[in-house]
Amino acid sequence: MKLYKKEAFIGRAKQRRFFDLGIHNSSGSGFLALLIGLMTFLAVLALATSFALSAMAERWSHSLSNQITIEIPATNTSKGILSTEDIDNITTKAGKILSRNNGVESVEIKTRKEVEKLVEPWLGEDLDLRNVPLPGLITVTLKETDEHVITGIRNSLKPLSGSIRIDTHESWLSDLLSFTSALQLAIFLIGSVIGATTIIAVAGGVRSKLSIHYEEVEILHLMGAFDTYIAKQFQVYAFLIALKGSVIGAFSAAAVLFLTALLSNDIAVTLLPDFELSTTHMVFLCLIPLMAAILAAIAARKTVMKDLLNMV
Amino acid sequence: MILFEHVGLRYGIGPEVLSDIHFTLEPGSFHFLTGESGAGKTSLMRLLYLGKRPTRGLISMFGENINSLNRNQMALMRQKIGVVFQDFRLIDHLSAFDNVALPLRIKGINEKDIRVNVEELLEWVGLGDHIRALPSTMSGGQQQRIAIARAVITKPKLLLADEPTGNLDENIGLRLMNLFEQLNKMGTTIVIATHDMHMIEQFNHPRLALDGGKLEVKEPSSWIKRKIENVF
Repeated sequence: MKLYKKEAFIGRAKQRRFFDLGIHNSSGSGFLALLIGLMTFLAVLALATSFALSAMAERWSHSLSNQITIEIPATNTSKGILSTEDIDNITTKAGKILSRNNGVESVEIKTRKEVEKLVEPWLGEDLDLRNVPLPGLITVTLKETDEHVITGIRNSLKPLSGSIRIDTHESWLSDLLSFTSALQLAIFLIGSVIGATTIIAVAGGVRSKLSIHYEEVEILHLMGAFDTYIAKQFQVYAFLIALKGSVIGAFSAAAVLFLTALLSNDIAVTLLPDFELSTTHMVFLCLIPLMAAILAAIAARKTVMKDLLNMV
Repeated sequence: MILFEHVGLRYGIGPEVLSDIHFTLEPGSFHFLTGESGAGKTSLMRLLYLGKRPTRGLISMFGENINSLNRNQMALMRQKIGVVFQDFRLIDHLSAFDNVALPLRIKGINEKDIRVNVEELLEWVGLGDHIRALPSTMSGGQQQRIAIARAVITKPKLLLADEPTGNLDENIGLRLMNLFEQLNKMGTTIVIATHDMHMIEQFNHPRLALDGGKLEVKEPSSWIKRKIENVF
């Protein structure tokens, strides 16, 4: 580089300029990066939660589709509390009846140990359940969910016990899906607020830079620079600042998610399915810093283009 | 050709700082702009470098009525004009090289050509050893030469200079005036605002004389004649 070899005194430019305007030198850039970092941190957490909820709801929905649970209650309206033998007897008979039904794919009779395991979270591990009357449970997988098949099953089991209950999980699943949908909507709204805050922050930061560097902008204008040429400087500046802040924010959020996953593995969560993210969701989360940077660049460009209209 | 027809300019709701300005600058002409402080030189220069639109009247530049130009057309029009500001208006964080290269980069010239042209011009104005220097480390005279190099690097159709030799020693001032003369011979229209009577006398060009917001075009012969009359 012949050009820059001649200089040897303090106050020389270190390299070819990246920005014509001194926007990267003046104060306020650090604050903007920090703000975008925080916004990205929140956005990654909110989106990760939304994705995990969506995955959980799908797994729940998938695992319960075409499934019904037959419960043989431990109490009977005519005989009072049934003995364990009676319950086992009715359960076995019910299993045989169900296996013969054409609409049934498979029948799984829960053993007493499995039923004890199911009630454990409510009754505790230390309680001796040997003398506690527990209901009989049969998980039935249907070939397809059909009201006629369920009615047929109900009628065929009636002679065994009038108090047999059939749980199609529908109302529980419907409530659960409504709840997860409401949570996802709330997260979407939070995400929108985060996005809007980022845009407002970038617009404010850029406007302040534009005001600080008004004279330099005017010089570029007077030399014949198009508005797009000037806006591009702010656009690149906002992109780089936002990318820097959002990468830090995303890494911080990833660390928090990792710690949460570690902690939740240590805690025996038996009531909820695993909190997992798919590869697609992970890729999407990794793209958030880039999206934040692009959003910042667009916000910067729009702001500058609009404000430049006030100049001659 | 540059044409001003009954041009008036006011700032806000204040009085007109320029009123009924009427003149023509033929392509390749050379004029000095003179006038006392507050006569409206800066405002007229501002209109010439399209830093302001007139509040009334018509300005036509290179065959275009500037009132009818949109923003992009105005930008293209400004690319044909080189300006040397009295306060230089260099960009502080850019090196001498990058300041001079700025108009070329705005025009989208490739970096290889920019390097060759800028280096050559900086050598010519005597700043070949200050290519990477920041303006803040340079003297007033050096900054002025950077400002002049920046204004002429694109070989503009119209060159406007506000006191361009004010901070320069006589020798460099003369060299720069000769540069302006050369550019003028190549077809650049030049307007130089100055108080330097010695320079006006030395370079025998017509004057745009501003007085209280009114403009009078004075041909060199008549002006010199009156000067001679005043002397005797």
